[in-house]
Amino acid sequence: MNQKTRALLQEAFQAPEPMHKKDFLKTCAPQPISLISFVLSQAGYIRKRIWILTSMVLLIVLPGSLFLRQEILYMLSAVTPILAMTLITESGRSESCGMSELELSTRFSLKNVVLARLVLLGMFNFLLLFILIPVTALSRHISLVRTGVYILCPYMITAFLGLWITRRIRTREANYICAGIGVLASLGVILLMNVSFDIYEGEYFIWWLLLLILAVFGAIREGAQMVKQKEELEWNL
Amino acid sequence: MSMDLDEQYDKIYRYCYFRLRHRETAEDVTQETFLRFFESTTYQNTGQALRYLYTIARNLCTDEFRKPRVEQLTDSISDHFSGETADDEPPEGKILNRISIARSLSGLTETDRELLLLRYVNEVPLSVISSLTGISRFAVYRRLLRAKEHLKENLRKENII
Repeated sequence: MNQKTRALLQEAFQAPEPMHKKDFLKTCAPQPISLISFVLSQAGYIRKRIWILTSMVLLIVLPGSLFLRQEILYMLSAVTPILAMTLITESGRSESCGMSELELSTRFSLKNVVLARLVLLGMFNFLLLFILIPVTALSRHISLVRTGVYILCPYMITAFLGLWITRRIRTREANYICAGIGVLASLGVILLMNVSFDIYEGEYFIWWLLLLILAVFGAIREGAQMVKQKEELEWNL
Repeated sequence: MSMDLDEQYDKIYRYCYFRLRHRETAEDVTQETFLRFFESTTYQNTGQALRYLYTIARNLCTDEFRKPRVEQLTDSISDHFSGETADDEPPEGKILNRISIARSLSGLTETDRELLLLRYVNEVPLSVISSLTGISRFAVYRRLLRAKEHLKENLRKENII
């Protein structure tokens, strides 16, 4: 259609000015909210004990690094599964507590809410690790990369297993199983460091790295599936 | 939600106005459309917002037609200018022009007028029009071509083009 005909059409379909548009949009239209404000608003819905538990790791490990220079790596490796466990149980809480339908009917979809909470807690966890990894590396006199791999490996394995469980079991029992996995992973690390050989020696590093890569891939896959599942839930409502 | 509410309000209002031909009813239906639209976040989050908005508006206009009439919905062409003040009143030639265009449009079917309004005035994508009217994209495209030809013919008869 040429410009002239289009202009004629637009003129022909010119409606009289609406009378109450401004009032309506001012009172009824949802006020836009920025992504950061939305994510931060979700911080209040994460249980206080989760924040306290996560912060306690920093409070314990930082002074510990001064007195237990050699054992700090084992300690941190044993504690990180607990961090991952808190993250996973928080992500599945809306379903295990039967809140998902309620959240789906609100302004933001369940997918957005769960992702915002995961991002918040995940960022807080990584901020802690960002502080603790250099502290541990300095205490043990090993490289940052190696320290990072040793600490992130139990964390990512717990995250992967936790996501795998919460995707399959949607009741409150999933929380207990995740807690069990977190505790088992911590105990596993403690047991391993008490066996005769030192698993933190350089020759075993490649196995740590391989395990970490597999756990990261697994966690990403499970995370993507979880998001997809939330979308399905949205359409099924 | 990425759409501009202010702009969409005008477009939905225009659509309702030309379907109902009554200023107040069109505005009521527009506001009802947006209230229902705000109630659901499902479509907004799945990229179907525009489709959902027009579907509500179309259904509400149909409901309005079905209601028993207590007053006639008979806004005439002169009502088009009722929102304009004396200062910005269009010149006589322009009014005559608009009347001629309105006459040319009245020679088209209701469906053709709706398609032209949606596609060329409100700039609604073909895919949305297709799902709104329940006909295929290709059929929408062909009907639009036919409506355009018909309109041009009528405009020539009115000596506008």
